[in-house]
Amino acid sequence: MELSNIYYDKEHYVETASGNKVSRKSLVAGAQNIVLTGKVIIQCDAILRGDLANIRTGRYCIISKGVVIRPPFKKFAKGVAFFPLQMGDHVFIDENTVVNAASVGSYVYIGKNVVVGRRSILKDCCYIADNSVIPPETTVPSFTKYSGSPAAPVDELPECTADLMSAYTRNYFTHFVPRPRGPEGVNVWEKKPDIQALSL
Amino acid sequence: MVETESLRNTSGSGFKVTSGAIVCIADNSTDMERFAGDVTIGTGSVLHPRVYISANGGHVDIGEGNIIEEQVRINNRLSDKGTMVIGNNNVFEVGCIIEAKAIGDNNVFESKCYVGPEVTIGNGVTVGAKCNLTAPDTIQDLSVIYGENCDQRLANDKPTSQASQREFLSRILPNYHKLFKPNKPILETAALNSM
Repeated sequence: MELSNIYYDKEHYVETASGNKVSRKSLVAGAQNIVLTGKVIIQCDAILRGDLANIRTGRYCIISKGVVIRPPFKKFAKGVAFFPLQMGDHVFIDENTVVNAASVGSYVYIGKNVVVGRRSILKDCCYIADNSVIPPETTVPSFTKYSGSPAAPVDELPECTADLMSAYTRNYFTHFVPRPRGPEGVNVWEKKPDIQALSL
Repeated sequence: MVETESLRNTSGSGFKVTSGAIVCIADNSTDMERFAGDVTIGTGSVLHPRVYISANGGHVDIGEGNIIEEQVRINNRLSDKGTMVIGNNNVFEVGCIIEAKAIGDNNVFESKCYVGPEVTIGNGVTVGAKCNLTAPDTIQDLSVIYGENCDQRLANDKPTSQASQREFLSRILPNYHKLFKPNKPILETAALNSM
């Protein structure tokens, strides 16, 4: 299925040389500790807490509006430590989700309003349904769909999940485009939501 | 400029941070709207960036040693315009919404939970992730609220101390964030940032 275009305002986004698109309205704390490998989208109001520990994402990660990526902490006999958060390639995280995981594999789909508990591990190719709560220190195995609060496995995923997710995130990235502008720099979509206006 | 005006109108006697409290601000100006009305934050409390506290309905008095994480909303919506008192050593995790009448000590509010305006929270209570407390109620000490149906039971042991986490955060956060200076009204800080 072909996605329709998702438009963003060019002035609200920063594009890096490796193709990351980061909203100026997101909060990227401790940027020196964050590695975005390339073609990563970070939308507005998302929060990445690189100040707590390192965050590393793979290619084609989509981090939607209001998502919080927060390295997890663990208490020891002497003080606490925050652990680095690893994320694989082709990860999609939907709106207002909180990710406290220790690691997120590749080809992972995380729905809306999910709470991923501290130091949980999401293996490659798993699916977290909307509104789920993954309890702390859970390991979600590959090719499973988790749902509920506390989340439990409800279904299996097909073997082609990796291909599906890769196609989905690539598609999303190519359709995440700047809002087209008319000849005088006027936003044609605000004036006239008509595709004919573009062929000027 | 407009923002400073609106702050002056809404903040009244203002936002008070006692010395030793750490209040992070993210470095964009929209962030200054996060505190409205009379808010007092006690010693040793740690507020992460993007916390929203609204005291337009009445005072919000936050005690000592609390940890308040991102996207938390604390809203005084009490019907009698009274002071909302939050005790000491509580943890408010990412995205929880607190409108409670009163909150004791050593409580944990997990991610995305909601505590409504008719609720009083005792001491050592844990409200689980995405749990909603809306009915008028007093939650007794050491209760745990958990799961999809917001079941309630009593914990067998005392809540763990958050002191080590607080200490770690208060060491690390000043390296990465601009902070509100203690005992300085919000307006001065706003003016400094706009310079």
